[in-house]
Amino acid sequence: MSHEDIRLSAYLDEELPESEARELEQQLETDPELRRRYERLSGVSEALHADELPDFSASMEHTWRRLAPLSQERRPVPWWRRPIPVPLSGVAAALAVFVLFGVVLARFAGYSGQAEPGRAQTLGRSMELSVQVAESEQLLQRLSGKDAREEITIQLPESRTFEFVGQPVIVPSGR
Amino acid sequence: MTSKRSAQEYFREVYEEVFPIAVRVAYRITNDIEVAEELCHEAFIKYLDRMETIPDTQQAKYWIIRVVKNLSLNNQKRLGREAAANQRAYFEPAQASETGEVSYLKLEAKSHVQQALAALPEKLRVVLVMKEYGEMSYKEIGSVLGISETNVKVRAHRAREKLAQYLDGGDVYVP
Repeated sequence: MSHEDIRLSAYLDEELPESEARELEQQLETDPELRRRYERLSGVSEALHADELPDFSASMEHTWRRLAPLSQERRPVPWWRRPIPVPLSGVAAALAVFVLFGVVLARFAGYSGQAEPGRAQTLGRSMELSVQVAESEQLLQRLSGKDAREEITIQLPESRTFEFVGQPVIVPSGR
Repeated sequence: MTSKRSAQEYFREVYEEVFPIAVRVAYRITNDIEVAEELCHEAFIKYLDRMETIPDTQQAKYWIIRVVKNLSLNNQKRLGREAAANQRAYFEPAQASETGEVSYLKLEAKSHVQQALAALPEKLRVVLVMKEYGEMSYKEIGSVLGISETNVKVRAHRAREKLAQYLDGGDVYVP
């Protein structure tokens, strides 16, 4: 199957651009082999149409008589199957917001460093993160280095007694 | 469907534009005018249920022809061996009883061409049927089948090439 043969088929189907069609017609006049291949393909089309199609006008009328009453008593389409016209710009804006939110979330959730969080859960824009006590200082330094202004709540085990010395200052969360 | 015309008028408009194409495609796949009519009827009933979700006449045309094509192919698969036996019975003995050498050769040619067409791989046959009998453009066929115009062009050529090979070997009368 050569490119030339595909062109011949497209020419037969009147699907070649005008300029290409004229060029091919000139080639067909001067190239007997190309002409033979074209006639072989056009012979197939002629053979396909040798068996004429029946007259479908009676079928068309008969089918319409069966369909017409149905088209009058057509059930309304339920609202959930109706298309909702949404402007393309709106879809693009929603997609942009979604991607942006995903990036922000990923930056928060993606904290790793030396102190591997044992458990992390995000709820909306707040994040609950568990780290080992020995690694908490490293986490605080990292947050401080990134100029993080978020409120940090540290939940201390009730079973142990703590004494607060120096920084960081623990602010009551109001919970 | 954006115009203010009634739904029934719009349905009639779509019907008049699409039925003649759909029935030719169905007929050339099923080789049975009554079955083709029945399948088109079924396709238009399905369309009635979805009319409001299909935006314009062009999309309706693609949708209905796609449904008719699928129904026709499914019908042929369901018939299976019985359909193949029926086709042989329909095409061979009945035509052999014709008188006159030319008539006989013409009928033999029809028989061979239709048999060859039915024997083509489904994806090639459907393209050729839509092109030759549905008189659809490559663009329209591509929209119905969900493939590119280039793909349609290649399939149309491959289908013709296979038929040509079949006819070359069959010593077929081509008028």
